[in-house]
Amino acid sequence: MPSIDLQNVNFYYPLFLSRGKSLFKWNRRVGAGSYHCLRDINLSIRDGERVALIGRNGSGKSTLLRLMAGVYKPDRGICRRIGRTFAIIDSGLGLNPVFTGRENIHTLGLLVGMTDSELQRKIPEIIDFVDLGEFFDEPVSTYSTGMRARLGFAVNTMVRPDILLSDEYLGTGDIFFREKVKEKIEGLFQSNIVVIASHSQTVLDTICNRAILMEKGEIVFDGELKEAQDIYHDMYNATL
Amino acid sequence: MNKQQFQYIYDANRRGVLHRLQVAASDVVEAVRLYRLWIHLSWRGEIGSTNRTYLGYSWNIFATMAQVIILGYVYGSLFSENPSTMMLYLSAGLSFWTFITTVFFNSFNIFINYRSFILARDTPLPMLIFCSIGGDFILLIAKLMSFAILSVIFLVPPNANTLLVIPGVAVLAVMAFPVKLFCATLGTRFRDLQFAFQPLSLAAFLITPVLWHRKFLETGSWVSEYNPFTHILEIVRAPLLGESPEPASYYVVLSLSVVVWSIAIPVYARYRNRVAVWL
Repeated sequence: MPSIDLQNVNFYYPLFLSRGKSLFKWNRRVGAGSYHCLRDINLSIRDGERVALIGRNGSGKSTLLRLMAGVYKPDRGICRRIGRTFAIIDSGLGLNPVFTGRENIHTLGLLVGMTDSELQRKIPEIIDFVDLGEFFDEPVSTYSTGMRARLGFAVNTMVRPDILLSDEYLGTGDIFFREKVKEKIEGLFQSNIVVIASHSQTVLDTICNRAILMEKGEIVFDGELKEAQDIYHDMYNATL
Repeated sequence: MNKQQFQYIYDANRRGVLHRLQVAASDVVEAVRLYRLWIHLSWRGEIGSTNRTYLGYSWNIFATMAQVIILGYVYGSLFSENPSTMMLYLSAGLSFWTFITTVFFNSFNIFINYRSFILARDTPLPMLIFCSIGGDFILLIAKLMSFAILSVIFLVPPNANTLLVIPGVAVLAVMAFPVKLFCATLGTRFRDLQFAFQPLSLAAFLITPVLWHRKFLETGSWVSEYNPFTHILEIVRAPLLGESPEPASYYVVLSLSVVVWSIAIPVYARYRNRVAVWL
């Protein structure tokens, strides 16, 4: 069964001034700058839970997603994750801009262990889904933002993942594509884990059944989406 | 595809040296397992580097040919050597030198170049090193084509010693991996390194017998004798030219390999977790 467990996870992000990554400034900089991004995170996500990560900018949502994905490693604590995972957490969506759409699909397919024949079977389906026309065989650097988002989504969901970790980037794309994505998300992830960080109420409302509210690297609320959103709005109102 | 692949556990509370080495070793194993991916990536990346050109990747062959012919005439007359011998000597030397110089002096930005790849998903970092070495080998083969063409033109047949190029290249590959891993890891943290070492590659080029021959030295042969690059170059260039490399060169290169492996792997094991946040 897919699951994600974080125990007492703490994560520090080293701060480098733009002049900081320098050999001769090692003594001045080392240890001097690090930001305590995540503080004592305890979290357990089970099969069937579709979690919304909410919180203001810089509250640690993306960092938490990267820790779950295994891109960042915690400085203290334990991360445990079971299940085939796809993460859409980078603004480049893990696409190589020099490669064409087809080559990107090929690359990621190999990364997740697909064979050539599996890939050959899968590609027509993806072509149909991303609807890029002739751009499918052009380098990704020539794509518009929306086209990239579409390809990124297709690439990252071409093998059915047990766990989908997604940052903001799902929101892009025109209304035609958003409908397709919704269908696909609803179809694919009925019984699996989705963790999605988004500011879009509609995205969260349609997908999620649990919410985690973060503030300054800590989980301040974990429970019903409606309740979390109320607290979040209260927090906003309190600053007015 | 096995089930274990989908299980990810990271326990930050285990900080033992042995545990770290174990994790580093499993990264390397995982990277080897992804061989289809890095062969594909290095092929696409290297061949793609000449996109939108008319001659495509064969630019590397033609450009090396032109370089070797010009330098062969000039240096041949400078050192009163037969131009054809000099051209063969130069094409073998320059091809391998490009490989060596990339490994030792231009490896600091490998992870930086793969930034979006590393930040997008949990990738075993040695996989990217293999990609990079793969690309270097493709370039090496392209450049060596110039040697092959010149050998045909000057009717220089290969002999039994030529076969020694195979172990030579194998040793080169075994050495390139830890050097690149070490440089890429540290280069991500210290952005100065790439700038510090790039100019040094020119110095290394000039003190290594690439353009000149060891036999031309009347005094100061220590410059080449105590220069590890001489020996690294020797074990691959000498066989191509039909000579057998001196055993001393093998000793030097093999012991150097032991040293770099024993430095690079612990350094990688210690800092592998930091690479993603250093990017």
